[in-house]
Amino acid sequence: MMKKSARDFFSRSYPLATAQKILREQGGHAPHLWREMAALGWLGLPLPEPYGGSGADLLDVVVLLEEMGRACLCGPYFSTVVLCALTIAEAGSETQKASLLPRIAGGDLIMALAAREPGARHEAEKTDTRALPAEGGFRLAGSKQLVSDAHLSQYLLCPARTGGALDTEDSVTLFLVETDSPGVSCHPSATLICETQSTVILDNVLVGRSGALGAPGHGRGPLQHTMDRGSVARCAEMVGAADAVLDMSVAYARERVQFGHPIGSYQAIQHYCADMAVDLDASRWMTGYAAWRLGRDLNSGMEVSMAKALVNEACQRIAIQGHQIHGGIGFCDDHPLHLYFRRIRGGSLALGDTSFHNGRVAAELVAGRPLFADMQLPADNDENVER
Amino acid sequence: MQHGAGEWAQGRPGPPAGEARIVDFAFTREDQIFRLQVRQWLQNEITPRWRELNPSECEESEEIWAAVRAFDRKLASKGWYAPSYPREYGGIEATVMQEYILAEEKSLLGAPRKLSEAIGVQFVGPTIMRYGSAEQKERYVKRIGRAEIVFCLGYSEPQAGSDLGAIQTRASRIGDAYRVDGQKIFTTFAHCADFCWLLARTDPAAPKHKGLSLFIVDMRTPGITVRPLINILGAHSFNEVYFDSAVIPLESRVGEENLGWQYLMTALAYERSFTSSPAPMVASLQALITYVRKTPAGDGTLADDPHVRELLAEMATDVAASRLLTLRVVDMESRGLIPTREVSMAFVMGMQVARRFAKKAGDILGMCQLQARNSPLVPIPGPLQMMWLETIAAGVGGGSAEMQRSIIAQLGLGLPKG
Repeated sequence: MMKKSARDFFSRSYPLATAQKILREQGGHAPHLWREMAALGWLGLPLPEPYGGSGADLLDVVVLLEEMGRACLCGPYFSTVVLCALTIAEAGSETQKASLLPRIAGGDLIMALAAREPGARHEAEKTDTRALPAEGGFRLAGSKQLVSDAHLSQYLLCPARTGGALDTEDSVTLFLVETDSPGVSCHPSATLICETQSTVILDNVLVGRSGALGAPGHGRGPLQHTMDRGSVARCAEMVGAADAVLDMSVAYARERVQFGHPIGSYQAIQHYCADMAVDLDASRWMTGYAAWRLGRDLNSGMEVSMAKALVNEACQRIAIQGHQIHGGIGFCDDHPLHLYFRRIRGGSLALGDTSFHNGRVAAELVAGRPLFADMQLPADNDENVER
Repeated sequence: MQHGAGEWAQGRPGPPAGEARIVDFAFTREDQIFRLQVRQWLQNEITPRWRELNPSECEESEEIWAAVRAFDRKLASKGWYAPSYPREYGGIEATVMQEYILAEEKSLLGAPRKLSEAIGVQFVGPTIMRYGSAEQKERYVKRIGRAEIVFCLGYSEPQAGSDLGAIQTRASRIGDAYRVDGQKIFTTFAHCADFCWLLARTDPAAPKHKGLSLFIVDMRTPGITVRPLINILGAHSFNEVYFDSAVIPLESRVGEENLGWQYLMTALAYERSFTSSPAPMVASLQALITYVRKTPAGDGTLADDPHVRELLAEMATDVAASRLLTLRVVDMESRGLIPTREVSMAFVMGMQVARRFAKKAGDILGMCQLQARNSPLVPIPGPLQMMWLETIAAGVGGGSAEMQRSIIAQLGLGLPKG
């Protein structure tokens, strides 16, 4: 099945030594691996079947992403498939879907979501980039920051303001911008979290009408869905990474002998590992639950944010505890443990940090959203409003 | 596509990977209907006086006790006191999920519920059904299922808590009887119970876990003295119990001599008290949200305060995660799997969540919440007042969190025994 075949694939084609090498030498993207994943159908996994995909739901993608996280895969799968392709599948016109999705599924197209603006704490916080009507299309002007995988992409998915005030419903449009268009400049930078992020300057970039994803002015809804799917998917990656950390830590604790016994026989180490296991399973199940709800189009904003808030913190605890167990050897660059810590750190700040997601959970709770639909208490007094 | 959900559920290597399990986060229609039935019945049967009393789990009085017993008999009349039992013994042969739903709804609606009442239902009845004599089944199981008799648990001793195998209370065979000498401690409701479910040493010469037996002891037996212990909530819920040449008939023994530890271990695998379920906190959270929305603060209400909002979000997320880990156990049991580390994980999470929740609720409600119960200053009277004290029990009663972590580490992760 998917989990087993993914795990086998990565242990064969992308063992940790390979991951470390590719990260050091190629910045994390291995084109041959990309082609193999395309051949396995993974790039089209959640895409609709008429466009070359397998039509899998988000929970299936979560399985794959967990394995990718476990393998410490750093590459444009997340950007291309989760952030961009699924948005195109949701909001794109027939023409756009037919033109782009099969190429993505075939491994011929890499894309990035260029949404975060300077000063914003997350991707959907604000859109100052303007898109003014011009020459049968639009001219985009503005800048985007911290865009993962822009340097590898042929297309960027860019929210830009086409309407009036930012908080009106019809103000934002999602644009498909070709990176080799005049006026697009991409300034990549290495990061501390095993990925390359870029500043993208859009200097009066001409985008034809066909570059507006779906109808202009209807970008906010799809962008929010992108954030939600992205959050859950990023959780899955963090869970996979944390799983690897726990496995490595348990293995190390069994073999490392001090004072005549494996350190894994000492209670402190055992209890660290137990706490890590609880954090891991809580993370996995909250992610799965959110993915399940999202995949069924149930009201899931609260559950997505709960998952991200929990996973952000729990997986970081696991990473740090893993380092604690490994002692000095885990502090060496050669040891892959810190790569997982870096990935988890990055994941915790992408698509909304803990504070942001707690804010969304609180807003839902205060507005009367029941914690569990099946456990909703009978309406009492005034305030229980069901959403 | 269901197979993804099944694969996702496989998680850590545990039971051998075989068929991908289908995990569906939705309750079945039948279970939803059952939940509704339970809820409607509970809403009708919980008395206004009980709502007024609104006691927390550790609070105790004669009136509370009488109300709990009366309610249990009402539950029993529906077959809901010991729902998993065969119908002949007063149950409805409920599925694990139905049991769970019943427990959740009772918690959620604040129904009279005493954890220790579960002793007879959870430990005694199933052990007798499995290992007891026909006469014992006849004499006890039906009365347990009908909430007619109450048991206390005679396990812990001053020198034997987590290390239960080290108990010293002795049951010496004398002709057609046993003579019991020793002491138990932290025996919840020993002062109200009809019987004691006693673990005692029958063979002092055998290795410690191999010389133990289980007994049903009538609490009226001469030689038994119950001394109250007042708990940190100021309530009398548990006790010391002294056995001083208490003579009990041979038929008191359940199963074979010296196999008590084995029976006990088996019983643990079937325990369904769902103590890790965060259902009580769901109701509390609801009350807390109602409270912050209507309480003025600054230019608005407490609900506008960013710090309060962050706390509420963290509490809700904690409760959601705890429920999922508990439901995982229920899900496994529903499939005929025996959860081991998963139970311990749910326990550890449940304890941590309960304590964090209590602290955060207290932080939101402030000093007024710490006034005596009857003070008009108390924002939300009831269980939320003492939850911060009560949740101490969550990590030390019913198994310590340290033991649970060791189980996770050793049985779950394969780390070597120290």
